[in-house]
Amino acid sequence: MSHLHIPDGVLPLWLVALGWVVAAVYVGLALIAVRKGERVQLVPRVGVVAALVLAAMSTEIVPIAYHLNLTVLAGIILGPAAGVLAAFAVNLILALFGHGGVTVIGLNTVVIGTEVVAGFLLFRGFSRLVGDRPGLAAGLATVLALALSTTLMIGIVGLSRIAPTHARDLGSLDPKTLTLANPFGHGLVANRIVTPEQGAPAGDGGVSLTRFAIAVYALGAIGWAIEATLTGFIVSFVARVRAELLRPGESGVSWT
Amino acid sequence: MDVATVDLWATSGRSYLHRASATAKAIAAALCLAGVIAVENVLIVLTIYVIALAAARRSGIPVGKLVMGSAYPGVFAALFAFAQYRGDLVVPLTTIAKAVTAAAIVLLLISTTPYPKLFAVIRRLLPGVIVEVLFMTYRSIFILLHCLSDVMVAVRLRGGLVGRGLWGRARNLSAALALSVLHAFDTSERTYAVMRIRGYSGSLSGERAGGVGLKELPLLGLAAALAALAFVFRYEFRLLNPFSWLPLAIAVAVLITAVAVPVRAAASAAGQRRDDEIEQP
Repeated sequence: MSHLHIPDGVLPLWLVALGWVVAAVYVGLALIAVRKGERVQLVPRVGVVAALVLAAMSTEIVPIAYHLNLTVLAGIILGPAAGVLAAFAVNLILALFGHGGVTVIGLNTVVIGTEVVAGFLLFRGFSRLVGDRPGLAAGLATVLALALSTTLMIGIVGLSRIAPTHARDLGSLDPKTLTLANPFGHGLVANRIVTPEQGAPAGDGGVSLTRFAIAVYALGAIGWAIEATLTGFIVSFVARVRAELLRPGESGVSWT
Repeated sequence: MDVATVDLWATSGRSYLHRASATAKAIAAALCLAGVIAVENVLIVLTIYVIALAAARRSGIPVGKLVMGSAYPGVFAALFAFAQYRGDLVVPLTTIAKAVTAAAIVLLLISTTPYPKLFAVIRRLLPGVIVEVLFMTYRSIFILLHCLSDVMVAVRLRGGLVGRGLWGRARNLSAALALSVLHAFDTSERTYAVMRIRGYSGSLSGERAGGVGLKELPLLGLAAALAALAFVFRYEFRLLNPFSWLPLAIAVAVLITAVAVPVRAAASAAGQRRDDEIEQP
């Protein structure tokens, strides 16, 4: 689970909007990088890889609340530019299927897009280090890219300063606990669980974030191992039968 | 949720929601989502959820399957909700309810709207190549699943998943997955090339999102009412919180009525046929 499964309405709107802006920059750069003449071959290829990622993300490993991503594989096969397009498509379709909030598509594109780009770069780096063992390079790249994107995801949650101690004060069941604070007192951008005037005591948010981070890292690490194994095997197979897919310039699709 | 099943519901339904324009449904979904985002009262969130279930029932969408489908993001939201728990269940429950309700809304949207029409709405907002990628992604899901199904049958017939230990089975499974992807690449590229030869230039014939007419007004009115309810409860929560059970009670009554009153015979028969087709191996 390297992207946000936070539902709509929990993150502050400024962060959601920032996510959309950064995602627009990501996608814009990707569109510029993908040359128009290559789209005939690229569009179906991105479609298949995005479909694979979608299928992986829809397969939940229930006991650890983790699902496979295969985003590093997407980065390795598609390259960073087309990989980012695939990441955006995946997030949009996932949101349409109720898997993740609609408003966090932007942030999720940033997280998964980073995962794709990091996976691509790390794979190339490790390929030089380990030589003719693409499966191993892909496995190592997967672990590091997922760790990076998970850290980014936790950072986003931390940035949102979500400290839900007094969240019920914003309109939950018990009117006795309600404060006189107007939830729109700071405008719509203050739309978050805790308004500044209800801010949790120092350290409360940290405890919550720490607990969240521990849970995500602990459960995620098991998932990373599974995913690294799977990605390593797949890349190893592809290297044997269609090696050009893993080599820049030979697949006919830009790796820019 | 099974994509093929959702696709079948969207394309074969004849209910009011199915006949409403994609644009109107997208606006209605956006209004309901805005309500879910704004409100922090779990009972109001559940009100929107129950209304969505009632709408699904009247549209011939199996309510149980919608509940199961919308529960999926709730599992992941539970992890976040766990971090919110401070001895008070209301906050984590609200987070989970928001995830589940938002999922139910978008699932209802795609269950009643064929994907070309949905992509036609998205086309108004995003660059053409992104919509092309979306379209090919959606098509590729079916291509990939078909390839994977064939390859897995072959793997099983050759005993690829028996014995060999966990490592060996993972290796075989990965090879099967990789082979499916390579097959899917070829199939998808052929499909796209054929589409291009036949004149496809980024838009599908018949993919019209439609406008908003008189027949869509009840849908938009209901969505606007739900959004207004959520915003009013968000803004006047001190005054209204003690009465937050009331909208939920009304919504539950609506759901019971929706379940009790039979869906039109034709729609029911169509739904039964669809279920039969889906149940077939």
